[in-house]
Amino acid sequence: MDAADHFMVAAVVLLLTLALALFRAWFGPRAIDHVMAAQLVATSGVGVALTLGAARDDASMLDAALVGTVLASVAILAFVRDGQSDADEPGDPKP
Amino acid sequence: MTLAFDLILCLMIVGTAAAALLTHNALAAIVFFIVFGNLLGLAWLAMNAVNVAMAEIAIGAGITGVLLILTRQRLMALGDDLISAETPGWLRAGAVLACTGLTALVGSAVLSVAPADDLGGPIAALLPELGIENPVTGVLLAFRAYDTLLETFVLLGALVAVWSLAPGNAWPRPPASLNLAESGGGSVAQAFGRLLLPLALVMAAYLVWAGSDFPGGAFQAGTVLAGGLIIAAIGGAVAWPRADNSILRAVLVLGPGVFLIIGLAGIALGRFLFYPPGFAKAMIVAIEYSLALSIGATLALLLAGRSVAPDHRS
Repeated sequence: MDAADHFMVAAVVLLLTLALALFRAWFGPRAIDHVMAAQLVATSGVGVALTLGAARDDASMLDAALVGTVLASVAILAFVRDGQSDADEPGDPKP
Repeated sequence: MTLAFDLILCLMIVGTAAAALLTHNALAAIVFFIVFGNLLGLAWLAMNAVNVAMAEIAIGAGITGVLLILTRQRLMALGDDLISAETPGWLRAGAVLACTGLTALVGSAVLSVAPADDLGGPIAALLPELGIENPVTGVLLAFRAYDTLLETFVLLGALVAVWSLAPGNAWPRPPASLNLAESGGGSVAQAFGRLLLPLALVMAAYLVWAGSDFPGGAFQAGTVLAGGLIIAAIGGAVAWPRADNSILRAVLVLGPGVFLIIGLAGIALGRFLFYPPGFAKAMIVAIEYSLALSIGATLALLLAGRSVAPDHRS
């Protein structure tokens, strides 16, 4: 097993941890839980992009990861800007 | 290991798409849409299509996700309960049938192209003439420039359509501000905006420059620019973009304008959108930088939304 294989294994493991975040994205129960799940997926996605870039020895994949980091943060800010605090929001209906 | 990665990724993409469609919770559907965009970006990366991956992560997952979140908040502010009416069974069955047919059609079209039959060879042979090394930029701004020129005007048209939805008495007022109401959250967002905006500017400049030889380009750079601007505006670090700001309006038409002028100048040398030999790269980079600014301004104004009249303030 060479280094590229190790990076692929890391990418698979990261992808599986990313899958765990999908449970939170589905069940919530609070609004912020859904949004934090999206953030977690974006962060893990950056990790997968980085490991994939290392495995393929392709530096431009790091640029794709950078684009992901900058834009993932916009969604959470757009969400929390709502005047009322979402922590007080009652749990939303089950999906 | 690559096979395992591809299989898991495919399963997750189909799963998140299904989840986005099946959930009855609007926010969960938006979140699954964003996740779907991120996973699709990873799938493009796995296929070594970094240009497409960047565009998907930036526009599919990033900006569209923000647009959907803002739409949900505006709807809630207007008193909408965000519960859609039950779809009749025949409509669901019809949608499933139409989508399955389209998927089969696209699948058979893709599989019918032999791997050796792609355009990579002919394009690679033409690229040295342009002086750029990224085949995607070559296709978008030289071999298929007409199409890209029209796309830039489509984006402008979308913004004009959004503006047209504002009631007459809303002009020239600003769109509903997204400033954080709470002082605590506001200072965090403000500091973050001050930090991120310069980073986004540097990154956008880099993405356009890298775009001529490596994956990147005006669309990705413009999206990063818009993201940085909106974060700074939400935190209050810069003013909320207004539709009646004359500088912003000039920036909006700068990109398509420069593209059109260079295209028309080509007529003098032979035909529309003809780059004189030796100057192709300089012109492509000039078009890309002005396009990135325009796309950034357009997306930022699209996110800001239409102007809001005092009695409609949401």
